[in-house]
Amino acid sequence: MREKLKHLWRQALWTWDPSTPREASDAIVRNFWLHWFPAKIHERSLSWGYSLWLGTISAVLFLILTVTGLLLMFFYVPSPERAYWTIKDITYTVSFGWLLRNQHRWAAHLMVLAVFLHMVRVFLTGSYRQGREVNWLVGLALLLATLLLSFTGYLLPWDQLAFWAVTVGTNIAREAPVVGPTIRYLFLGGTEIGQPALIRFYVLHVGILPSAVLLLVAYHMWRVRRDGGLAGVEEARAEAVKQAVAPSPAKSYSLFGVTAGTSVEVERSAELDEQNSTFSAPHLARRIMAVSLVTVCVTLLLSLLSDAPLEEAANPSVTPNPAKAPWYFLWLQELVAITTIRIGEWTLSGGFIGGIAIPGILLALAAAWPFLDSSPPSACGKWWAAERRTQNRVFVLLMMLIAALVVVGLFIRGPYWGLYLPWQPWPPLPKTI
Amino acid sequence: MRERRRFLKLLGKGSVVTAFLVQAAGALRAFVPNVLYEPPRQFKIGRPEDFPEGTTFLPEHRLFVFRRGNDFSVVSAVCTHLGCTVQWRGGEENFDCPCHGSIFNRDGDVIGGPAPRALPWYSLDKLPDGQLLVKTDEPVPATYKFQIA
Amino acid sequence: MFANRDFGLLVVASLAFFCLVAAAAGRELASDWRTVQADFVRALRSHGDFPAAKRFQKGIKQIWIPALNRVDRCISCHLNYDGAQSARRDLPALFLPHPKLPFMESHPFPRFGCTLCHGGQGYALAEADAHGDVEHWQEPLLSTGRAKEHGLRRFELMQYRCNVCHAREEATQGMELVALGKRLIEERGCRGCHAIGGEGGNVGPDLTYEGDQNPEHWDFSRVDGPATNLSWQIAHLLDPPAIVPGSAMPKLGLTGEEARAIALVLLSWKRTAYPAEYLPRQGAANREN
Repeated sequence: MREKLKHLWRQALWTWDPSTPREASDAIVRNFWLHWFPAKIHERSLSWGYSLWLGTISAVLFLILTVTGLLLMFFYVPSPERAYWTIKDITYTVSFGWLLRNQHRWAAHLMVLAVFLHMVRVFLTGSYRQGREVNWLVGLALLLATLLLSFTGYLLPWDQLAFWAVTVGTNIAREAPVVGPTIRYLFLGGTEIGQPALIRFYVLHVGILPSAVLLLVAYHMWRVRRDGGLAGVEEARAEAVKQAVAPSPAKSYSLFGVTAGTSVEVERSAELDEQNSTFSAPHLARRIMAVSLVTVCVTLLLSLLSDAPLEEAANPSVTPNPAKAPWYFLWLQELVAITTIRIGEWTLSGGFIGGIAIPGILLALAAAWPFLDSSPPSACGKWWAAERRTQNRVFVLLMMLIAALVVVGLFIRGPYWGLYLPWQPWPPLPKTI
Repeated sequence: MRERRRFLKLLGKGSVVTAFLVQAAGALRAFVPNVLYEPPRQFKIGRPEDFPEGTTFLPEHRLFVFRRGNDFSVVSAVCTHLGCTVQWRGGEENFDCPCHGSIFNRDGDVIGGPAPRALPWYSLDKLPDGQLLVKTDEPVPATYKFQIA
Repeated sequence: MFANRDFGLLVVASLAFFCLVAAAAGRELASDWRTVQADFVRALRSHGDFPAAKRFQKGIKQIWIPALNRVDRCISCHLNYDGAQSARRDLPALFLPHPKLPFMESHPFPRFGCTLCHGGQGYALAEADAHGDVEHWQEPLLSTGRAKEHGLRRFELMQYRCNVCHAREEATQGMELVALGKRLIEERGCRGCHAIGGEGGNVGPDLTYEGDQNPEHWDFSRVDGPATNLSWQIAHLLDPPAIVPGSAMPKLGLTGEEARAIALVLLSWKRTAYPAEYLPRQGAANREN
């Protein structure tokens, strides 16, 4: 009986601890949790230093967010009258509610960071080449979805931060030429921020955007394998292709004809010979487990160390001073505050330049770059390839500019968006009593 | 026979596509609200004699009311940059915005910060019941003064 | 190969995961209200009130007042607030019942709760948050210390909360300082310049809802003492032109106590949406006390 149960269990999902290579490759097909991995994986794909595992970390963070978010949905009520107070209840009276909320918040912050760094890694290693252009675009869409999720998320507590973030955010949208006001009207479900806006942002946050991310991530992962694995193995593959370039007369290639095409079977995976590959089970599976666990641990540790803030309940007649966006939007807030152009009577609002034009140009450039980059294939999948030195430098400079704007917004902006050095005290914010 | 089949096929496909598009358009149209639970664009703010000389802030309407003797004028407290509420700093006679540091002078004109436009002034009217009516759908120049008898 | 190192990492990460979850559980179990309730049971036992210790049921306790849309969880720590838990009067101060003041009869706990009079954050359970002396909470506990900062005693400071409802009464027993303020407002002719409740002049601003003023609109650079609405009002009443240069309001020659009395009345003038049955009946004030 016991043997039977054990067998059933193993059949259902868990075949593990393979004792032979054959079992190891079987495990992939048999195990529910492993079936989306390749049977064998190149050692370079497993390296810590090449990919930094940022994609995996992002995915794990998304998983944490889904689980904690789903639980939070049981306690949160998306109504302007109740929302703020249900957050207070989650913080104070729901058992481990504080942990749920803290973990959700920290995972969200970390996910923005991880997705951003993942993009930086892919750019610096030139990994968007060699058929991976589409996946780069998918990645950009995921970055946007992550930012939108954050934006719609920090709005739900309906505190002062939430209210004024929506005010500023939707007014930036209004600055878009022609369609701006309509977009704002549709997002808010009116011209002012109230119940229609809250429920719209809520549904976006808990339904539409997470589904979009899930679908995009699935496609992203499928593309990674379809495009021949991480770009880090391109070098090894080129080597293998070179060695195998002369078709063996013993094999009947003639039936298909050895062509210059990019058939997955012939040129991509198959040529990556066995010698530097290893079984996904257990090596890949174990690393993924380790990365997942470490990620969970980091969110837990941060949740224990620092509590998610909640400002005063939303008050349309009082704008907090200063009203700062979360750190990942501070560079935009800094931009909209400093990019208004005045030439005589003619004014172009910073809301348009800094909020729409500059991010739009950056996004368009990012989307077009894989098709403009003309570096040789040998530069693909290598950190700081000499052939891509200039573009890597420009990219790093741009990213550092954004980071610098974030730092300015975070540490040296005070009341009325004035400059206050970290050691300069702000004028005291008065209280009622 | 073949012609008829082709026609029917086209008819079928066309119906499905059209029906689907109409339904999708209907679903999208639902997102445009047909009524708004929002305060009207014209509203009463009280009798002229309720307002003291100088500046009065009406938080629920996000407006500043200025009174100089019998002259009244009303200026929006919503920053033209990205919609935060500006604060009147009596000492400097400025409106300052806490969000991105825009500064407007006494006339609502931009004198600093990112705001692209001056704060709008609104038309006023006195109703038969003695109340002042603000018309936020009727902007007026900063020189506008509403004189009460 | 890397297999062994990976295995080690996995083991370490698993242990860290366990420890962190244990720490989270520890924090949950060490929350203030649990500690206090454990203390309470211990205090009951050590003072010999074993039936009360046995009767006591642990858990978050709250007074929920739907009519006022308020929740007060103060009683999760101030457990014996109504004396129902134990009749002993030698317990630690935290566990003593609320003093039986003359107006308590007409302001029963289930209808009025705690924070309506005392201030503080009724939703919160951790001590600092509940007492409301934290960022992002505008109604802190009206404590002795806070009163002292404004040159007042606690029962005097609290009178401004009473007057949110009792504003229309000339004088109410137990609200002597506020009554002085109200008398001064009439005697000094504030209405000559200020409209109050739709009545009065228009030289100065309308004071009807002065308690709702957002202090961020004020300049505190010339105010000594804490940056609060109350402290601004006191300083301003004592010497208006010194606080608002060029103000048309003259120096009224008030004493410190008089200024504090008027400031408390001003602070109590708030928009409220209390149901009619919560408001004092006209002219009934003196009988009720």
